[in-house]
Amino acid sequence: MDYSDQDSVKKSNRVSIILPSIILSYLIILLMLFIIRYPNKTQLIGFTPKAYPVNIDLKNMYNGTSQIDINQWVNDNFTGHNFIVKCYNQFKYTFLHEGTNGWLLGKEGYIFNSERSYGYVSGVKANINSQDENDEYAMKLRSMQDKLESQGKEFLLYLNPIKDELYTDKLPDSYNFVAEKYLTDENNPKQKLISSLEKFGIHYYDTTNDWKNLKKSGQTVFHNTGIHPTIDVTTISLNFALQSLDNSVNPKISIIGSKNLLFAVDKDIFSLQNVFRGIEGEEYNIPVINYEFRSPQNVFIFGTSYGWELVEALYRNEGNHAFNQLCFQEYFTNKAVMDDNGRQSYSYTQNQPIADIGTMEEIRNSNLVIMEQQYAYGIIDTHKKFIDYVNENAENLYYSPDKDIIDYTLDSAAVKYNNFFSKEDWGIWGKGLRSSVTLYSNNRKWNEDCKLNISAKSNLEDHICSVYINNVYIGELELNTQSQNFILNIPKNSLASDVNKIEFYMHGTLQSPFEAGNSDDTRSLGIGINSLILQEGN
Amino acid sequence: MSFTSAIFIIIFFPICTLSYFISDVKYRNILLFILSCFFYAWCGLKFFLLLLISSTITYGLGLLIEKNVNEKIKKIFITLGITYSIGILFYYKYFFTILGGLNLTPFFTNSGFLDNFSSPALPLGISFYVFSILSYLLDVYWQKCKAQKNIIYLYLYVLFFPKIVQGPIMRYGDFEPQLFKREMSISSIDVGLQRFIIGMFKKVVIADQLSKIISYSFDHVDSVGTISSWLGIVAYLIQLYYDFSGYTDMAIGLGLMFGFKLPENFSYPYVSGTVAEYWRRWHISLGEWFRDYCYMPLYRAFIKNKRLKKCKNLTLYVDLLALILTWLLTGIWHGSGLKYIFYGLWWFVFIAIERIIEYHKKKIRKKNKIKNKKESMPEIIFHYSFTIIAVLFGQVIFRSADLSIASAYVKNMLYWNTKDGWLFLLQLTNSTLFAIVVGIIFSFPIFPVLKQKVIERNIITQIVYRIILAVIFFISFSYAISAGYSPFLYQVF
Repeated sequence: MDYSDQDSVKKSNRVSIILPSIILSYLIILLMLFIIRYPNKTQLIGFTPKAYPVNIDLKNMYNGTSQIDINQWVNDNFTGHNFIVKCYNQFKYTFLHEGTNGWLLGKEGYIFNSERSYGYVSGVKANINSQDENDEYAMKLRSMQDKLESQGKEFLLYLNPIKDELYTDKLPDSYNFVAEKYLTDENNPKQKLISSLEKFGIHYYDTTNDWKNLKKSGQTVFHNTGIHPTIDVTTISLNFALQSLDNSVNPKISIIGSKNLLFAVDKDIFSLQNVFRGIEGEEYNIPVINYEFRSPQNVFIFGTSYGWELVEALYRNEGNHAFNQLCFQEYFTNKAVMDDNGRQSYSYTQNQPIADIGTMEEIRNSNLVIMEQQYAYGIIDTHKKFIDYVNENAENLYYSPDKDIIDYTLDSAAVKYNNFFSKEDWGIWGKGLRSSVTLYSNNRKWNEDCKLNISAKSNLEDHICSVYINNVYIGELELNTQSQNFILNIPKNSLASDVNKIEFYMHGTLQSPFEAGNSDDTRSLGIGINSLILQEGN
Repeated sequence: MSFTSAIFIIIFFPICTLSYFISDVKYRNILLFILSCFFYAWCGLKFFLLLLISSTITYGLGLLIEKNVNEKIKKIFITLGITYSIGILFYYKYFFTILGGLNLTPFFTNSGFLDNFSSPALPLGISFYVFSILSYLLDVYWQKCKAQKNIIYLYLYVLFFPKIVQGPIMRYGDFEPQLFKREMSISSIDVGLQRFIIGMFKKVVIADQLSKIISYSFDHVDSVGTISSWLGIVAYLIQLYYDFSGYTDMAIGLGLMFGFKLPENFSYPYVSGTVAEYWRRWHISLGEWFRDYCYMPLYRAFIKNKRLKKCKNLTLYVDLLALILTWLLTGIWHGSGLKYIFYGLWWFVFIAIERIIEYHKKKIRKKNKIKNKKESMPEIIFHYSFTIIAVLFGQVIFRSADLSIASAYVKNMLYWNTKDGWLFLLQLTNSTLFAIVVGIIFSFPIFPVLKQKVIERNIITQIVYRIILAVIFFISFSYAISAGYSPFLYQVF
């Protein structure tokens, strides 16, 4: 017997066992953990695993769609998934020097947003908008500006550069190289936009030079991990911007101290890459802002997330605001969010809790309207929609002096229905015993007494409703289930020049149609208004 | 179920392996059959039923062909078998494209004839298993193998999960002996796993990383320049090879783990000196299938043809005639549409040129009684260049959405332009560059040399190699999970 052969066979078998042992053991352990539904301990930011249960039925199994769902569910939820994804990200980060989750790794620990950087250096986004398109945009902006100014408001277009423009040297070499080739004057998105803005006389302020100068003087304009400018530079350039306006009473903002905290929006960018060990964000001190002078005016901002810096600069602490009231409406790239009524996802004001409030409501309350955008993207869809919406509704912000008919069917920002259900084909039902309609006018002089023509009904027979205008009693309505016309007189002295509130108080108790045995409607219905017309004169 | 999906790697594969090894040897074939059924049914029960029905019909026809002595009846059965197999392939793959091309779809839908029909989804691996079925029936008919009496074994042949989705197309005669006797040892599992891991790496770390740059070039033909176009096609050649050969490696590796030796499907095609050699190294099982079941029967039929017998250079003409039909069918096998017909003819033209040159060279040598001598350097350069041109532009046709885009792409390649300037640089991420460099290097037969001279040198190197493979497995697995679902390119066939 050849023992050397036997020996080499044994050694070969021992070597052969290594790989199957490692791999199969690992997989079997994963399988066991999956069966007992051992949870993922590692967290992944921004990841939503497919939820259980998945749609399993014979029809879907027959077509294969259930299987697709199950595949996805298993892929997202198996034990160790998050850890493995982080390992993948870390591998790319460490060995291939590549960012993940849409972040681009630059030099010296700088991170950029891939999509923004690509769009910026290649001029792709800017070149989507021709000079004609920029002109059309500026023309609409001018229309909006005029309408707002005609109603006593100021308008300012606030233009910002993105991080890539100020930190081009920190971009990867290939991006730098392309930027040098592409960002000629012809392709420069800013040049095209500015020339259109100048042509149409838009009030704008470009912070680029301010930020460049501040950067030269050693100020941090953007964090290494952030895509947002610092509040310091925003505050400084905002001061300059406000001073450029003609009529405003501008609050003066200064920075008097600092707190040790990385700006909340940007601090976790490196962790958004979902790596174990990534670039550390720069230590940044949040400035404490002092408002040396507080303006009695209100301001409305519509903008990108850069607008947050403006908000921070204007509205840092409770009870210490630059303007009396501030509303900020952030853009969303999801068009569905900006619907036909221009409703934003949230607003933020001094006195009111965060809630969905109409855009025009806030513009009406404001003296200064700021639209903020980063010009590197050319014309953003949400900004276009915003401009179109304001242009459409600005004329109805208040009732013009020659308008003496105010009809409830006007879906206008000038009329606000409080405590009513949604409008129906025939009219609108009030919710409960008290409802009101608010009419907005802009310093209207009421020269004559008015008449309130109202066609209304109730859910019940012989239901009395008292009507007040600005807390002044003007009459009663004897309502029945059939609509009737009523005319109430309103003395001109009880009318206000700007806001008039008509209140309806139902007497007694209410009953739903269901309780009355008339239908399945379980709503507690108050006054039902078919039409509401306020007419000046006889 | 994809080989690189979590459900396969974490659930199916460990259960498969464990159950297989703990089961008694006599039940292993049945177990493999059940597992293969489950694997295929995972793409949808309706496709599984179709496959089962097709396999059952094949089983029945195989027995009938073998049982009947009467040649005419045998012919009827084989014709039925071929008609059925081609019929289902035609229906799923070509029928609706032809309807659309002839503008007949409205006619059928308006008349209510196809009310409940819309272009059906392509059953997974239909092109591959139909060819397996056809090769079985034809081999039984030609008495190259015996009909299988055990239906489970025939099902297993068709359904065997490592090869059902993308091949390799295996002959029944090569598969059958392994049903009863196959080598199963820790060594075969080890070798199988090595192959599987390498295949997975090829697919997810190399092939998948090139999608972005390929899509940049091919999907924006009007706005990319010459450099981008060349980069795009080179990346595509790498991607196609690594994706398909990666899958094959995984299939072969899995087969080995269960003791089955599946045929090789790739042999470093990019070192080919001739176009014919390229197709002997690229998708080998398909080429051999068409050679044995298409080209050879056609050749034999044409050579006996009385009209053709009168031709001068008979063998050349018959060869070319058989070739053109074979390549036409090869092109059509790849997909429905004019593009694929053109694709098939493209290869025919190049192979025909080679055949004609070789034929005349042989004639001259025979006439002058010159011995076959070694090729000179200019000849070698000419042949390689010829092959590269054929492959490069042939795959442009294959990748492009249609012939007009292929034409525009070729124009971009050949006529210098800088439409996109330097933008292509932004597509060259480190992952992409890594994939291109590694892809090019290992397109040459470097790995076998490395294995022989370095890896298998001694025990230490072998251990280190396996540990490296384990790390590669983990990296590849993390790529597969993190990148989401990325189907194999040839899965659409």
